[in-house]
Amino acid sequence: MFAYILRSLAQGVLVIIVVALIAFSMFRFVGDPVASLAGQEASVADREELSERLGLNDPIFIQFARFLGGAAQADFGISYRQGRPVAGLLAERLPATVELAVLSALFALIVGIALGVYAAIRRRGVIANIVMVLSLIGVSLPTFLIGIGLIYIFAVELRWLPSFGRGETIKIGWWTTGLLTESGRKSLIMPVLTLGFFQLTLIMRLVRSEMLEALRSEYIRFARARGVPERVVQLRHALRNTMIPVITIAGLQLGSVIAFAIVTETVFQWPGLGALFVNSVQFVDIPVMATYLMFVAFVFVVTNLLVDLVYYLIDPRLRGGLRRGRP
Amino acid sequence: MTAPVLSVRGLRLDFVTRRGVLTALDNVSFDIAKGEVLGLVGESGAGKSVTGAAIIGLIEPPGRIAGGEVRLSGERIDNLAPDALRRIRGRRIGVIFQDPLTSLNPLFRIGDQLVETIQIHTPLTQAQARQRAVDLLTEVGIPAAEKRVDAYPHEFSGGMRQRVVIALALCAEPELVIADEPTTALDVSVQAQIITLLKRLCRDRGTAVLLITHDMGVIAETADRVAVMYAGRIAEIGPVHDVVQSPLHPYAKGLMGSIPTLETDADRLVQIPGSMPRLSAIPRGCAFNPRCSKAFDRCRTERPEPTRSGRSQVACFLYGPGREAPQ
Amino acid sequence: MSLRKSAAFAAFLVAVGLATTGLTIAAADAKTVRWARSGDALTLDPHAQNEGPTHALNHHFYEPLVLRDPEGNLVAGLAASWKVTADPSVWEFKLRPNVVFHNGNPLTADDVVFSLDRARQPTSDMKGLLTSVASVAKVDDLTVHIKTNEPNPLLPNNLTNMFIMNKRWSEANNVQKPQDFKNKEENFAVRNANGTGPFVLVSREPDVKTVMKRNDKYWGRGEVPLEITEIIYTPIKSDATRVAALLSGEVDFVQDVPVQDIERLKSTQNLRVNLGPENRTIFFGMNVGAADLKSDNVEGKNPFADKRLRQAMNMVINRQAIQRVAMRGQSVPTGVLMPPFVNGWTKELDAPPAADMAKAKALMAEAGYQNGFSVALNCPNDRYVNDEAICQAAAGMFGQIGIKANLVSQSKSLHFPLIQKTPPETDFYLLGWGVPTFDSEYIFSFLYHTRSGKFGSWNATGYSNPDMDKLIESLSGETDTAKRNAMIAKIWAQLQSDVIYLPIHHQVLAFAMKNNIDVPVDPENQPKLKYVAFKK
Ligand SMILES: Nc1ncnc2c1ncn2[C@@H]1O[C@H](COP(=O)(O)OP(=O)(O)O)[C@@H](O)[C@H]1O
Ligand code: SF4
Ligand SMILES: [Mg+2]
Repeated sequence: MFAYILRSLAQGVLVIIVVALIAFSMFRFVGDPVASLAGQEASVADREELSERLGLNDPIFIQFARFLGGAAQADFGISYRQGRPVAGLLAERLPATVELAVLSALFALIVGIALGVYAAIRRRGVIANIVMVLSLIGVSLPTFLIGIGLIYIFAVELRWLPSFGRGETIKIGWWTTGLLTESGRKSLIMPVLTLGFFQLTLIMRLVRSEMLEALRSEYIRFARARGVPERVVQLRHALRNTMIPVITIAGLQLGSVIAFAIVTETVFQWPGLGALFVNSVQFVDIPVMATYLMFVAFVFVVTNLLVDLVYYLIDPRLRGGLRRGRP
Repeated sequence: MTAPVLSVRGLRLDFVTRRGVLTALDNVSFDIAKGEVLGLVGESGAGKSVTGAAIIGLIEPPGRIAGGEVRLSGERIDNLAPDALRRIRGRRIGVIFQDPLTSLNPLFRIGDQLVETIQIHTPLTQAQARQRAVDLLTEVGIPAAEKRVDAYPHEFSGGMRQRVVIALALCAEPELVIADEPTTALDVSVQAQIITLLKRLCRDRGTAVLLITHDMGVIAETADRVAVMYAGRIAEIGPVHDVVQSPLHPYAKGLMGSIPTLETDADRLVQIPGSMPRLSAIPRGCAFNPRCSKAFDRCRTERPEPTRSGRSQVACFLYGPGREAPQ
Repeated sequence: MSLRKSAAFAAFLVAVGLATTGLTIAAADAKTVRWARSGDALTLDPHAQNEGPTHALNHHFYEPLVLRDPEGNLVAGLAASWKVTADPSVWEFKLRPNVVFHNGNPLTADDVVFSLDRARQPTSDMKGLLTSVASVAKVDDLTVHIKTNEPNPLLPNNLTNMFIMNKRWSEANNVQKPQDFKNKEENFAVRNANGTGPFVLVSREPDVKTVMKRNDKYWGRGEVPLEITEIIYTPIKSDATRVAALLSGEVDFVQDVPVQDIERLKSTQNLRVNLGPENRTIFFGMNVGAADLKSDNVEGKNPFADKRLRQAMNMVINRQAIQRVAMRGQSVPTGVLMPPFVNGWTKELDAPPAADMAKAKALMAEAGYQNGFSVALNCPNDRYVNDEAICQAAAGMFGQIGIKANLVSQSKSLHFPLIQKTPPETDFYLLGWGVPTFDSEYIFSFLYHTRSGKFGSWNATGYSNPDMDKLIESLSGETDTAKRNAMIAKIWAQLQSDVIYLPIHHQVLAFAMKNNIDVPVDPENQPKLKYVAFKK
C-alpha cells in the first residue's frame, strides 16, 4: 500500500515534468513576451536585448532545463507581467481558487448526489423529470452565460450579492479566507453556483443512471427479497455501489473544476489562479504559465491518487489488487 | 385440515407494454404443504421465476398481478401493503436466487449482510445477531465461520457463496423457501452438495420449498411433487414419481423424455420440435398445440383447463372428463 | 475566446435587466470614488513598464515635470517653468519650490537627476523616450539641465509620463534600477510608491484592488479640485461584469466601456457617459518594399509595390460603413495616421478619400490586376476596439476589387511580433498607433522611416525612401517652429501621395460614471482624478 503511494507519486513527478515540457514547447505558439514587455518606443535593438536578457533566444530545451533547475529549488522565476516571484504570486492566488473549487465541488457533489438519487428513485415522477430536463439545459449552457445571468439577477436587479471580487478577506498565516466575513461569504455564492453548476448536472445525471443500474442488479433484488426496507436498499446498498463511478468522475472533475475556474474567475473577477493564468497567457508571462500548468498537473496527479485511495476504502474487491500494486 | 403453507389460486400476471398487455402467468394454481418440496419445471421463459417473484410481491412495473390470490398459511398476502409484504420477505418466506456471485452485495462483509437481515426480522441485539450469523454459517458448512463472517463476498468460491445465500434465506426460520435455480450457476461438482444441504436444512425445520429448476435430476431426487409449466400455464402437476416416471401431458412427456438416464440411449431422447412461444404470440387454444404431435382441432380453438387425472392434474384435452381423443 | 462572443448576449441581458426595473443608485460616500477598468497597472515602478494603464495609475502617486491636461495641453507638473538655454542642446527646468514626497522628503534637483538617470537604465522600459538625452545635471536645488545629443525642441513632449522618484527613498529601498528579470527578488518599487502625486498609496493587491487616499499636502491643492478623498481602484476584466458593477452601484467610474453598451448606459438614469477622441488611429499596413510577397498568389512580383493598386485599395474602403457596422458609430473616420491633437494635423489631411468604385477598378486594371489576387491579412483580436470586425468588414470591401484578403486573426502577443520581427513576417496587417508626444515626428520616426537603429521599429511596410529619411531625421534638430512645421507639412504631403498605409479611423473613448461625478475623457486614456469635482 505504502509502496503503491510512493510509486504513484514518483509517476506523478514524471507526469508533471512531461506536462511542463509540453507546455514549454507550446509557449512560442502563445506569442512573444517581448511584444508585451517592451514599450512602443523600444527599438529593434532594445527588443533584441530584452529577449537575450530573458534567455528567450536559447533553444527551448535549454530554457526548459533552466526552468526545471530553478523549480527543483522552488524558484519558479519572476513574473514578466508583475515583476514578482512566481511562487509567491501563486501562493497569494491559491486560497481564492481553493476556496472556490472546494466549495463548488462540495455543492456539486452534495446537491448532485441528492438530486441524482431522487431522480433515480422517483424516475417516473413529475419533479424528477423536470429536474432532468433542467439538467439537460444546464449541461448545454456555457459557464460564462450562467455567471452573467446570475450577476444581472442577483447583483444588478436584486442587489443582494456583489457582482465581482472576493469581498473582505481575513489572513490566517499566509492563507486568506473569505469564509469568516459576511461580504466574503456573499461573494462566494454566485461563483460557487456558477462553477459548480456544470459539475452538479454531470454528477446528478451520473448518479441517476448508475443508481438505476444498481437498482436493477441482483444483489438489490436479493436485498429486497431478504426484506430489507426500501430506503435502506436505496441509500445503503444501491448508493454505495453507485459511488465508485461517481468518485472516479468527481475526482477527475476536480481537475476540470480548476480548469473551468478560469472562466468563472474571469467573469466574477475572482482573484484566483485561473484569472492569473488568463492574464498571463495574454501577456505571454512564461514563468507564470509554466508554473501554473505544473500546478494543475500536480492537482491531477494528487486527485488521481486520492481517487485510488477512496476506491480502496469503498471497494473491498480492489484491496487485494492494490496491495499487489495496481497501476 | 390445516391450511397449506403456500396456496396459489388462479394467479395471473400481466406485463403492460407499449405493444399491448402480455400475459406472463395465466390461471396458475398450486399448493405446498408444510415440509413439502414442490418442484417447478419448464423451459426457459416458461414463467417459473415470475411465479416466485409474484408470490413474494417483487414484481416490478410494468408487471402487475392481474388476478388470483396468494395465501401464506391461510392468510392472503398478495394484496398486502408494500411494507407489510416486505416484512414477510426474509422472515416468513426465504428466497434463494440463481447466481450466488451476484446475489451478495460486493461492498459489504457477509456478516454485515447476515446481521442486517437478522436484525430486520428479529429483536436480537447486534452481538446476538452476529453470534446467530456465525452459527448459521457453521450450519451451512462454512469452515472457520467465526473468522469468515468478516470476509467479503469476493473472498468466497461460488459454492461457498451459495451456502451464505442459503444462510441468509434461512436466518429468520421462514415457513417457505423459494429457491430459483439455486444450482444452475454452480460447478457440477458442488451442485449436489448444495441441494443436499438445502434439502437437509428444510427437512430439519419442516420448511416448505418451492424449488424452481430445469434440472430433472434434481427434481427427481428432491421434490415431493412437481409442477410442469409451459407458456405461463401449469401443464401438469402431481407427485414426483407419477410426473417423472409416467407423465401425461404431451409437453411433460417430451420434457421427461429428455432426461438422460442410464437406460436410455442418446438417440432415443425425445426431442420436442420448435420452441416456446414469445408472450406476444401465445397461440389460441392450447398454448402447446403448434408443437404437439397429438394436437387436434379443438386444441386450436379452446383452452384446456387443469383437470384431475389419477393423482395428477393435467391441462390437456386428452385427459380428464370430456376427454375427446381422436381414436 | 467565448468571453468575447458572449458580449453581445451580455448586452442583451443588460437590456432585459433595465427593462424590468427602474434603477436607483445607492448613494455612495460622496468622497470616495470606486474606479474600474479592464486591466490593472502592471507595476507601480514608474520606469519598469511603458504602458497605458500602468502610467494611468502611477499618475496618481507620481508626477512628471510636465504633463497633459484633459484637453491634451502641455501643462506644468513638477517643473514650474522650462526653456531652451542659450545652448540649443540644453533644456533648463525650474522646479516648483516646497514640493514634498509622500514620505515627507522635499523634492530637489537631485531627485530629478536620479529619476531621469534611472529611466535611462538598461532595465528601464522608458529609455526609448529618452534616447536623445546625453546627460542630466543639477544646477542648483531647484534647477536641472538636460543636455541632448543635438538640439531637441520637443524634449518636454517626451517627459509627460516620465515620473520623478525620491532619490533617498529609492536608495534606502534599493530600487535604484527598475526590475531586472534575472534577479530573483521583487523590486520594492513594484508594490510601493513614494511620489509627490495627489494621492498616497494605502494598499495594493495587484489584479485585485488598489486603495489610495488624498495627499493633503499636495502642492496643487488650490489649482485643481482634488475633491476625492479616497480612490478604490479595481480591475474588472470581463466587459459584462464591469458594466454590471456600474449598474449595480458597486463602482462609480468605469473605463473601457464596450461600444455596444454605450447607448444603453447613456439612457440609464443617474449614469453619465463621456465620449471623446482617443489618441489612437487604426490603419492597415502593406508590405510595399519586398520584391515578392510570401502569402499572395502572384508569382515573381509584389502587387503592393504598385502605388495605383494601393490607391485603389484606399478608395474602396468605405470608412463610414466600418464606423457603422464594426464600431456602432463610435469612431472618427480618417484619411491620415494621426489624431487631431497632433502637431501637423490638418482638416484636409484628415479627410478620408471618397469611396470611388469605378475609379478603383480602373486603377486595378491599369496596374495589371484586373483579375485580382489573394493575400493574407493579419489582424489582432484582443488589442483594439472590435479589431477583428474591422478586418472582416474591410476584407469584404477589398474583395469588391478582386483582392481576396484571407483573414488571420490572433492574439496581440502573436500579432505584434509579426510586425516587429526583422524582416517582418506579415504582408498586410492591422495596427493602431498613438502619439504620446503629440507631434508628427514620432509617427514619421516609427512608422515611415526606414527600419534601422532607433528608427522604423514599427515600420513593417518595407517602405524606404532615403530622401524622406533625411528629412525626418532633420526634424529633431530644427528649433525654428515655423520652419519645422513647414517641413512636417511637406513630409505629410509626400507620404500621403505615396499611400503607404490605409488609415481607417481614430478611436473614440467612452468613460461611464455615476452622474454625481464628471471625469473628462483623457485622449491618452489616462484619467487623472485630481481634476474631478463632485456635482453639487
Ligand atoms: N419485466 C418484464 N417485462 C416483460 N416481460 C417479462 C419481464 N420479466 C419477465 N418477462 C417475461 O415473462 C416470461 C417469464 O419469464 P421467467 O419467469 O423469467 O421465465 P423462467 O424463469 O421460466 O425462465 C418470459 O417470457 C419473459 O420474457
Ligand atoms: S390440449 Fe391438445 S395440443 Fe394441448 S397438449 Fe393436449 S393434445 Fe396437445
Ligand atoms: Mg428463471
